[in-house]
Amino acid sequence: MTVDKAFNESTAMNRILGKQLKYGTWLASTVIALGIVVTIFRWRMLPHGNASTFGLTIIGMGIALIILLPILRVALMVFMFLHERNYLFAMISCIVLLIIGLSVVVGLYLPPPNKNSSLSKLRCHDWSFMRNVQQNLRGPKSSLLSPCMDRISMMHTLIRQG
Amino acid sequence: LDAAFASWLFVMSVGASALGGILGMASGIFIVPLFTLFGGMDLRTAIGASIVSVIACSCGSAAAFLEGGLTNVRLAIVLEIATTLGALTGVLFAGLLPVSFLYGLFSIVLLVSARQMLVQRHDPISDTVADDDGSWTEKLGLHASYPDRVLGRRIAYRVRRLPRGMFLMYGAGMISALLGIGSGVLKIPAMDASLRLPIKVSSATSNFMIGVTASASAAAYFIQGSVVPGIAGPVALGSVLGSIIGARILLQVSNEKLRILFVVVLAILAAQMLLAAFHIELFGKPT
Repeated sequence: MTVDKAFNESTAMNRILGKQLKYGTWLASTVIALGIVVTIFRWRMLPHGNASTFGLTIIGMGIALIILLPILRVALMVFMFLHERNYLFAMISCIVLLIIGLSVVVGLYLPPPNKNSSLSKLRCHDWSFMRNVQQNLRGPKSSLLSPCMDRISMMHTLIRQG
Repeated sequence: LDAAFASWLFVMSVGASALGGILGMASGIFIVPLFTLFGGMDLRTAIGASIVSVIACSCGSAAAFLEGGLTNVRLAIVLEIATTLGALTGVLFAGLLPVSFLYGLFSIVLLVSARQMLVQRHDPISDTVADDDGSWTEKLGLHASYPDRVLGRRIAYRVRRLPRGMFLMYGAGMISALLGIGSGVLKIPAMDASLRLPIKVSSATSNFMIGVTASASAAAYFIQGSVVPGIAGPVALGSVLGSIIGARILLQVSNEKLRILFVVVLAILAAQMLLAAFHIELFGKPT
């Protein structure tokens, strides 16, 4: 009886984890595909090459989503084991999360091995584009981009209304 | 990022991932040699792109194994302590090791996978091993069963020699982080040698663990900026598509000649990587 119960619980867990991973992969792939399309077909609303960085930002988000999928899976397992009152395995899952957290800390404080790569153009870690947008929203220097920004804010209001 | 470059990356990843899927391996083992040897890409950039695609492939295919009841989730989370620790070590060392060493290590891994293709994998569960250390696996309750479609019933199995398995998984995790591969090609023989699981269970469980192992190192590389969105994006997308195609073909191909062809391809890639390792050493090219 207890064995049967344990078996059922584990398969329910399997199903939930499987769904999370499957739909997560689809979502992340869609975001990346969107980013690639935006990058290649240079979004017309943002001229002066900003569209290219904007697309890369979207791709970056999709990649972040992919990296987060298994981490979320472990977090999900913590809750599921707690729900099963299986505290030993909840703790084991927490340890795995902790190690991943340590790896993130290492990433934050250890300098990257190749700083001057020839491909630095394709990097998108300076969020200068976002900063530009912020400046445009705030300050008077917005002569070049202001028509676009107007259009974007108009779209936002339209979306909110509709 | 122009359309031609993106589509080149995309097509190459679809091919690499489909090939990996046909062989029952992850895509990373083909992606890195392809991009560095034939695409002229920087090794670390290729590793950054590859590790993301490895996660995508693992997550995309995990669902089928989980729903089939083949994945031993408890065993996976226990072993993931070792693999993520290995990945953490790999991230720490990645910046210190010279590129030529990484090329050399990669060629060894390629040779190991070639050997594994050549040797027929036998079901390790048939081997009789003395139950010398039941304590850990017993305490954690790792023994389980899986449904066998051919026999039409559930088959119970025991997990053996967990400490040794953990130790080998640590090494596999480290190599995964250093080379940007899933290192399923190392995990599966490690599991065969120590834990003695049924083939289907170890394949499914290894695939399940690959995602977490790779995300531990990918998170660090992503923050460091080693993951280049313009390259990793098309590669990840292509790999997901390729793995779906590969899984379809896997069901039909079990040809002896084809397997030997793959062994030859792997051996050639290994030789190329080894040459690349010494080339860089000879001319003293800075990393």
